[in-house]
Amino acid sequence: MRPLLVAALAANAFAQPSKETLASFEKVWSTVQERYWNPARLESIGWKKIHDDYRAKVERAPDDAAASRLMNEMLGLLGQSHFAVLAGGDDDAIDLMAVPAGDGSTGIDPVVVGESVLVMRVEPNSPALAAGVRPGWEIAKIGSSDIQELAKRVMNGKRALRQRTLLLRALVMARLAGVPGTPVTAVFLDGAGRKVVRAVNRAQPTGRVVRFGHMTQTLEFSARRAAPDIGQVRFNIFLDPPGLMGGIEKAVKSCIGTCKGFVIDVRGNPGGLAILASGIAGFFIDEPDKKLGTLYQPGVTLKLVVNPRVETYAGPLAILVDEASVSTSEILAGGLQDLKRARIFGTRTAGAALPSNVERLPNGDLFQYAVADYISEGGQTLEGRGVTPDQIVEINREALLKGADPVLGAAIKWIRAQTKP
Amino acid sequence: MRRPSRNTFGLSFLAASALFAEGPTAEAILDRYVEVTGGKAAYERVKGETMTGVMEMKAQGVKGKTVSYRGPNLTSYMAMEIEGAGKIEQGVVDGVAWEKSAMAGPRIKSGEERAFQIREALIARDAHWREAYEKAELQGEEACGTATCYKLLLSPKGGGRPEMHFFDKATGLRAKTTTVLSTQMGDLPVEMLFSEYKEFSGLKVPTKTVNRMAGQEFQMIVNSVDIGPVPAEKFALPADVKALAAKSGAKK
Repeated sequence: MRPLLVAALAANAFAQPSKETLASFEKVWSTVQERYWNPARLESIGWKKIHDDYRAKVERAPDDAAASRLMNEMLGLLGQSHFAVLAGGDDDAIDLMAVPAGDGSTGIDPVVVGESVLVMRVEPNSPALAAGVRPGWEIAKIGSSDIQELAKRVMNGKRALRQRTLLLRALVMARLAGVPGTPVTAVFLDGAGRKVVRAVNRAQPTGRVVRFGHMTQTLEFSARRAAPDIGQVRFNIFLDPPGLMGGIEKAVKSCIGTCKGFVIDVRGNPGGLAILASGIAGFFIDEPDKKLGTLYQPGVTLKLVVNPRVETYAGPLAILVDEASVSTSEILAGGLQDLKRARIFGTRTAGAALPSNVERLPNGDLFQYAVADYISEGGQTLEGRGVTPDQIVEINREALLKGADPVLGAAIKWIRAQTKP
Repeated sequence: MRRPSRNTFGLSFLAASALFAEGPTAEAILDRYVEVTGGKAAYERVKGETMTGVMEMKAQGVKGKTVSYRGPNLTSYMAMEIEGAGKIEQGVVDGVAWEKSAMAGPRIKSGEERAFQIREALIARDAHWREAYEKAELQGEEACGTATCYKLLLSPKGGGRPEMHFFDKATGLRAKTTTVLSTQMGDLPVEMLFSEYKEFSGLKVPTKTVNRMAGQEFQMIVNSVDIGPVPAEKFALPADVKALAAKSGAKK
């Protein structure tokens, strides 16, 4: 046997995860054991035996990354969202994390339609708009990454459809993002199917970089009129309460007595602080003691109570959602739908609505774990089901190419119908 | 080893009962706490209370600054400025117990929640516990950390949730309190662990409190305590809370 090969084999034989990773495994397992809200379910899936099986596998893992993948595999046995070690995971998740970090933005907001990734929106004053990128174009390549191939692979994977959609969108967004000032060249297919190459310099994010605990995100918030007499807010994350709630309050107040309706757009919004769903609902509900739902933890039941604001907007309220509306977005939409306070437009949400904590593990990885079950006010669990819109409106390429937003269009049409004499 | 006879058990029980009967009363344990933390005279000198510190949820990487005031006539104010979450405020003035946060907006408290907050507003409460509690009962002893503690059940006036207070037998200091908080979201069992007592203006104060509730743990660290009078404007209702109180006809 050749010496190099022997050395490699020996190295593999003795390679093992670090003691910090083994400690992380124990932390992950025991956190679920202690914090999961349904001990009977843990019993039924044999969580204690799972520990022993996976501890042995993790000890034999060739490196820390493989050990992290095994931890995610173990968490996957719970069959629920919001349980993940955020450094391992499957190949796509690793791929997602391997993309160079940076919050520089092109201004392209992608959407998955079938097995294609389209430009849904181009932000005003963004590098993409300056480069002439148009809604409705299909994204074929970003840098050296073949997006059409990626889309085929992800969309034909084993996950549930909404998870595939969510993952693909995240992978594309990760490729579009990067260090501000760095260029990215993307290949698009325009409405006629012609290849269009555009080089875009990523700009500083237009939003505010916000941090809460271990989470750091850029809050993009916009308030505008969807029509001269219809207010609209759109935001990409439920964080930065002073900034976000201040913006919503201002938009709502400017609409009281002047708007025929109000639109909240949480398409592509992955959630954030769950309590902000109640806080936002308080701008639209005037009656006390209304709830958006209930959280169940071991020994504790917590109601998501809405506190009516001093001034509330009483007119028609529409909420726009899609498959990438996750967690707090779903609690807000599902809760207000159950209370019959809002009409929901778009496509079914992700069905990942469990409140969670994010903690740092001994090996430095982040560990996200759900801490409660969430049941909507209508008595439904949103986990795995999502919020089904009152009016399902699919995004289609033709509309996007015409510069139209069919989901917003449907909401405006409904608002107009509510206010007809 | 010879197994103890039934008679031996009986004797042990009688001996234990006798010892228990000779133990301190609940009142004596509460008086001792006042004594070891500065004495009644020191508490009587408290005309107001300004406390500053920090809070931290270590596991989640969340931290913030805190400031609290207590004044005469059941007035209080507390603010927590949490990084990334904004300010959470609560207070009591003229019988109105309120809360306000950037996350959930302002609200007026009622029922047990209000009663608890008003009780908490009582200045130098440990020396005046009879004003807040109907009775105190000694419930026995229990290990608390490495120490042994007396367990005292304090029943609030007006029938609020009872609180279990644990006092270190050796030092007389309060080591722990457990109760069920009545909150807008529902009942919340809570455990508070007190330690690192330090003296401020002649009074010993626990400068570290570890709070455990709903599976979360956070700690509060006290950096400074001042016992001088607090200006009345510190307790004034914020404009939106005032408007809400007027709208809801909250008790004044």
